[in-house]
Amino acid sequence: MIPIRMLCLLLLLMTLLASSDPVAAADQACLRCHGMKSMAYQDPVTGGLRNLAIDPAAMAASSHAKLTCRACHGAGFESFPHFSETKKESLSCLECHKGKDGFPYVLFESIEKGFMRSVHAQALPDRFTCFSCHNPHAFHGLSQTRVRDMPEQVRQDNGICLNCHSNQEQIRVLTGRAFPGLLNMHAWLPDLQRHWRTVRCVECHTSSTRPQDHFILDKRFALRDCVACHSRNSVLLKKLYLYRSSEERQKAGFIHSLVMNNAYIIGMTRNLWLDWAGGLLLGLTLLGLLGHGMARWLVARKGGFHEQNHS
Amino acid sequence: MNRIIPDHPAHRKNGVELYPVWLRIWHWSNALSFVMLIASGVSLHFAGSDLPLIPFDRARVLHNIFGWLLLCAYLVFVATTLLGSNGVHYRPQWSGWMGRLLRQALFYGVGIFRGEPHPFPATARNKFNPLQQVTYLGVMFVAMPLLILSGLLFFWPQWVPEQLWEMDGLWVVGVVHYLLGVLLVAFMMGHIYLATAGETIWGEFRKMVLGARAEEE
Repeated sequence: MIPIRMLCLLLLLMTLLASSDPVAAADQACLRCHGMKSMAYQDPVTGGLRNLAIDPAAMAASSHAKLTCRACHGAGFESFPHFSETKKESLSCLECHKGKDGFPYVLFESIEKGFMRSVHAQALPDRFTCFSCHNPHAFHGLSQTRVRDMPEQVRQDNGICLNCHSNQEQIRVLTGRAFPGLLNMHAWLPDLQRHWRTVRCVECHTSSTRPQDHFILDKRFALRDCVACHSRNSVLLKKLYLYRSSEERQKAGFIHSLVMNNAYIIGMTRNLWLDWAGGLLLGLTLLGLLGHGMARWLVARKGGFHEQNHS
Repeated sequence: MNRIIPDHPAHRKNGVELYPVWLRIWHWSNALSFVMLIASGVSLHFAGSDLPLIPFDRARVLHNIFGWLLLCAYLVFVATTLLGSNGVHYRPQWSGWMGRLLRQALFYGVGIFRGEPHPFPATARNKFNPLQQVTYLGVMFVAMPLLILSGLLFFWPQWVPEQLWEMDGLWVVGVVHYLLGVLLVAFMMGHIYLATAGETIWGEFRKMVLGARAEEE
């Protein structure tokens, strides 16, 4: 008979081993195939290659890490090979992300409305879905990554757009036509690479100031106004810097107001204290000079002294 | 003592020209750059406010063009000061320096109201009074190079450290550029005003347009 202490240790070991595996036991069978990096098939409609591989590590780090494959994919996937009817399943993020406890209903309702009006949904109503941009097997909620590392945030968010828009082949597969080059389209923007490194595409390509707005505009209506960002009421404060600036606004005092603008943007990050100090210095200089000049004029007038006689 | 002779064809062969043509062009090119940089700089800094400003994209181009012009003029200044004869006016005579400085300050504070003569009239070897000299030394050898350098860093922001004193490096550079800009605007205001405090109100402006000669000892 196994002693109780030994049994407890054995159970604990089994629990630890089970929990150290990032993949739930129920998903092992799926990942036997979908865990292969080369898992793909050729789309009969577009002729493009559709990737069906899942990265277990990325999945384990994603916002959906706790979900099993079957939580989203229907029961029909239990059998292999999958039935044709099963493979036609249409998944929708909003089945979970709208109207269920734990998710802000208004936010996802707004995302859906915005998406339906977006140039993507309008141009490709049957082919453009949430998954065209967001990979549910690697997606990491923005609120979890936002603020901590702004350049990384920008790189991640722009990467979603560039995945298609910097890849002519991908664009051709998706739309059936070629798009003008990004460099030419953005040639009007000074210091282009720096802009791309420091702000997200959506700052100009969405009209709303709601941070999660998905109403991506047709390029003809994209923001093309320097002052929209380069001013004290910059739209960036309501978009990219929303969370950061609200944190910073909670700080008080002169020193904090000096250091709070830790990302320099011409026109936006001017400091009111320094503006007042500069204005005061120039105002006092002007007053001093006017006073001196006035005194010279009065003395010359009173005493009959004329500066012409100085020398 | 040397005597200033207003430029006149009859005097052209006498004395030393205090404001040779190249220097007058240099001076007025600086003046133009200053005015344009102030107008465009204010427009960039206060973009989006209710002030009557130059449109942002135009202000950016103007600020870049006149920033480069100011740099070229500064390089001319460095070359003529270090290699040419212009440097003699910027060389302070340390012996009795503070006393001369106070004497000049006393003139602006008191003597000018009594119609006293200028204590240090321009000479061929020293055309600046002591206050002018110390101000120009600070402006031309400290403020201007820092202003130009901080402006140039906006063309190559990758040279700016990510963090300076726990702040964004570029923000620090931006604040330095702004503060130096404000100081130099104050300098320009004083410079223009004191130009009216010469022998006559318009005399100094006239000299910078037509030139003026000082007799050699």
